[in-house]
Amino acid sequence: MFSNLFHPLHGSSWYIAILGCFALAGILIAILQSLPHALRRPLIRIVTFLGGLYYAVEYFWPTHSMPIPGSPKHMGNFLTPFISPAANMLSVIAGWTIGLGTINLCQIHGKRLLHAKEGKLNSLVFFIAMIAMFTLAVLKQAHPNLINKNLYMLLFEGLYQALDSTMFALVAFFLVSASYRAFRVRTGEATLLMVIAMVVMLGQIALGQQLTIHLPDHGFWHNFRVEIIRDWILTKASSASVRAIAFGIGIGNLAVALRVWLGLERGAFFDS
Amino acid sequence: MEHASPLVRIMVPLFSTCIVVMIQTARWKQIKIRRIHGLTAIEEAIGRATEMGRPMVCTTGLGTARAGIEIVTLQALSIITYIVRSSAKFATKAVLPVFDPQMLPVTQEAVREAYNLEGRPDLYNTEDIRFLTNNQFSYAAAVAGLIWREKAGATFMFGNYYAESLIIAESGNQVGAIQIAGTPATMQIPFFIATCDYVIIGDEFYAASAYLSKEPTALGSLVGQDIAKGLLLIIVILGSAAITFSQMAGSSLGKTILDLFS
Amino acid sequence: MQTRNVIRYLNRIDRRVLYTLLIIAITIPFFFTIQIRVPISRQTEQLYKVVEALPQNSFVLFGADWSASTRGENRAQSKALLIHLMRKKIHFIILCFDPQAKTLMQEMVTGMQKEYGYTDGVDWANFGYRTDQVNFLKGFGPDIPTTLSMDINGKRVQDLPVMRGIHTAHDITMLINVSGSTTTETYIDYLQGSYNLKMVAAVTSVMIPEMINRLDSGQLVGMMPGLQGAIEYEQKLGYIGKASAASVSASVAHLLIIALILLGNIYTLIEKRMSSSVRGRN
Repeated sequence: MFSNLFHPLHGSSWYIAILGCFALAGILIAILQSLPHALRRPLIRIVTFLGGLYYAVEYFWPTHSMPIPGSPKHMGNFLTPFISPAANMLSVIAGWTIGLGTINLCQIHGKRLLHAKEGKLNSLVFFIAMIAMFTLAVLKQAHPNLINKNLYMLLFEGLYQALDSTMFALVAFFLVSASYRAFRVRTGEATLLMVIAMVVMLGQIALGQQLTIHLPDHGFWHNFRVEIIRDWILTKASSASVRAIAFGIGIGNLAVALRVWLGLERGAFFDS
Repeated sequence: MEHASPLVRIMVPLFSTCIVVMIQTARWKQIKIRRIHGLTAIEEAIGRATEMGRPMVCTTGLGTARAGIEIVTLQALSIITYIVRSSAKFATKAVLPVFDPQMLPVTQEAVREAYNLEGRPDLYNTEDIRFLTNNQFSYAAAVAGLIWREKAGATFMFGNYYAESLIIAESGNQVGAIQIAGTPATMQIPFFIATCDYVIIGDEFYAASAYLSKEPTALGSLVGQDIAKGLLLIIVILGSAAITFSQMAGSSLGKTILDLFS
Repeated sequence: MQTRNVIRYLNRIDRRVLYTLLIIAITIPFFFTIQIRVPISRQTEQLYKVVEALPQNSFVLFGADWSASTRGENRAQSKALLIHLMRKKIHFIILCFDPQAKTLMQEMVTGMQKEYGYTDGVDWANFGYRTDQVNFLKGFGPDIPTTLSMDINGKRVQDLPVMRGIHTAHDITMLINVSGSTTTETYIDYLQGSYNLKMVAAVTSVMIPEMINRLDSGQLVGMMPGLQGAIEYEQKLGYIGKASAASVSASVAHLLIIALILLGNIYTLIEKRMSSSVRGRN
């Protein structure tokens, strides 16, 4: 039954299924909105628990041979066939939330424009940019002629990508001012930190590596090449601490996930 | 692994049991945790923003728009919610720029609830919780702009951050805001240390909500996490020792242990 | 008096002065062609060997997850890896979890294909941008044709010769991920581990300490570390690309940062000494 439900549809049945999904989603949202606040929380908890339970059981349940086309050695259990449809469903839900964000943006900027509040010019720019990008993307897809393509590329490559690069490049400038301010030799630890940072920087750049390039390729003195010291700092000293923190973070993630899944979490959003 | 390996089938339920048991224990037994400086400074930062008459900018980081709502972001929201509750007492404005559209309704609900719990529902303003964009550097530009325009008195940055961390934090530094950051993203910690007044590092981030709320569930979970970490440490030490000695002795035990973990 | 003035200036140095110095440090070296030979790092050497050992007509999944922002490092890395793959006549498909990567990669490969005798759809294909990496990979591993469905030109997987015989992730010879974000870790968690795939990554410099753990654990079999890794790889390939050209520029910028840190510390030391001498006189 389920395999038929998740089978790709074509032609008119595809349109019917899409419309049906819209109608079903509309009804569900209306029901959820009309529910009293006290009922919403248990409902959210039940759905969260069931969603988590599916993935947990699928992951831990013993597997057996489950050949699929092209992969005779494929392993799985009775829940494995639903992984792909579940993944698609989650992708669709995630995709829809972008609409929520867009509505929120339009509300905030719309109000600002209508009431001529401070920053109205920025809001106007937001609407112009959004409409221009949206229109050209649709036009490029619907009528992919040279003008539409070029106009779209002008906005996407000429503006959006350039602005993106510029913002990232700002990191370099902020790094300069932050390092000038922050790397001050005030304590023993700060001095050690500064020296290590300098060695790593020198070991990371071509000109820095030239300082010790004349040291032999093998033997005792080889260990004093800046790139070798840098490598040791990154692969031994630094990565050990990264690993230790990663253990803590992994366990922390497990704890928060368990609290959310089992409805144990307390706080403003999760419980009152 | 597509499915759990035998070792994972033992370890994950074991760690989970530690956490759940300690959560239940904490409900009847009082647990104390050490002082975390960055978190005690939260009140100071709220006070400073209030005195200056400037708003606070609170961000829950980027998460990853590729994987739905992240646990790290939820944890960050729980800390930010505490900050909003504390600031409600002084009616200090809190602006929350949101990166992931999926987090927007969750954040709105959390902030509304926080104001309600403090008896100040009038402070809730939809314009203060705004989705900006889910592009990393557009978000960085938007938050930096927000900090400059609003002349933030305090900025709180909790959650997952990447290269945008420095852009946001340096903007806060330049407007003279008192800044507190907390992230499990180890690579961003140096940038935060260079630009913020207080930084909560690594897994201290997960202790934050327990420390702030003193809530038994969070405190118990924290102790459970520590027990699980202790177990993990024992496994690491025993595993490393076994592999080292077996290699020295030329035995195949080391390979068997490695296979068990792979 | 003069020393005091210098100290006062250093203390109040405007950040715009620092920014101008950085612009000069980055830009000037671009006007000169200086070729510096660099020692090849262990990680790059390992990566080169792994790619070199791929048999002809292997099938590579090229995960390109970078945008214009990290182009400085990731573009040079992608190009170096593509040159190596194309020289060895290896088939590959491109998959992106960053919307900008789709166009950036398409432009790059289209510009290179003539030189290496590659044909779109036959030797390589671009499957463009996909959302929600975790859920996408969960579906991708067991059923590649259904999940990919069609390439960016609208051609169905079934009609693409490059996809012949590719059904599940077990059919992928190697996974390459060029990334400026967390996609490498997601690939490891949801694809590499599940299918025991041979995986290599080219990452930005700031990601190196985290990725080294993945390399040590064997989850990655090779890694190109940042721009420096791209310079080394270009050197291994005997080709002068964008990375080699940017090498001096990056070096001078780093040296400027080191100089500024030293300057800041000289100021701190002099200030400390002067205040202690004043205290001593009192």
